[in-house]
Amino acid sequence: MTGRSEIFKNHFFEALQELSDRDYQERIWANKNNPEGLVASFTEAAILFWEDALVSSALEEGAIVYDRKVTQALQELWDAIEIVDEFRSEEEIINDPLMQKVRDKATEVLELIKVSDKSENTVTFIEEGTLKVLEP
Amino acid sequence: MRVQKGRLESTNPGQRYDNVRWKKDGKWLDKDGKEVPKKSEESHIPIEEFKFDKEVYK
Repeated sequence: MTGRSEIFKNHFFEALQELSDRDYQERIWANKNNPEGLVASFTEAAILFWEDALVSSALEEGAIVYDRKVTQALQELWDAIEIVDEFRSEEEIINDPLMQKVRDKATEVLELIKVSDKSENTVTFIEEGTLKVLEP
Repeated sequence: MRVQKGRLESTNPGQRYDNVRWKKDGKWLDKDGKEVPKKSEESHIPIEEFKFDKEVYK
């Protein structure tokens, strides 16, 4: 442990990608083109983002993830996720305008990270399991 | 370890039953404690088939 807030980097980016990608959601969540038989869902992606990646803890601890804009967008993404009703079919979830807001916000987070100079970052990115420290 | 409620209306078979997910050192496990891919059906263990084995964590 580093004494700073930590984020599991692989979970973080996997969740953001999955939450932003309608094509993936239709293929895998809704099982429309899923020859490998992968099991995934909106709920699992949300948990991966907020809990497994440790984003929740980092934000509660007041950490800055990359920079203040990204940090704000991460909170807004969670706010958007929280109001999506998860107890219905994947088709309904994917087609819900509220889910489009989630996709848009996840895409925005990824774009903000791309242009961030990371100078405000106070988070340590690590790999779950090995706890190896990774570049932001 | 996590317990997930199944959704009968799901179009993904692995989401239709109540299931348990558990992992060790970042790796997802099947019901026998063997490492399996995270998004595999084996990592979504039907709740009635799951038996916690503390030996897995020794």
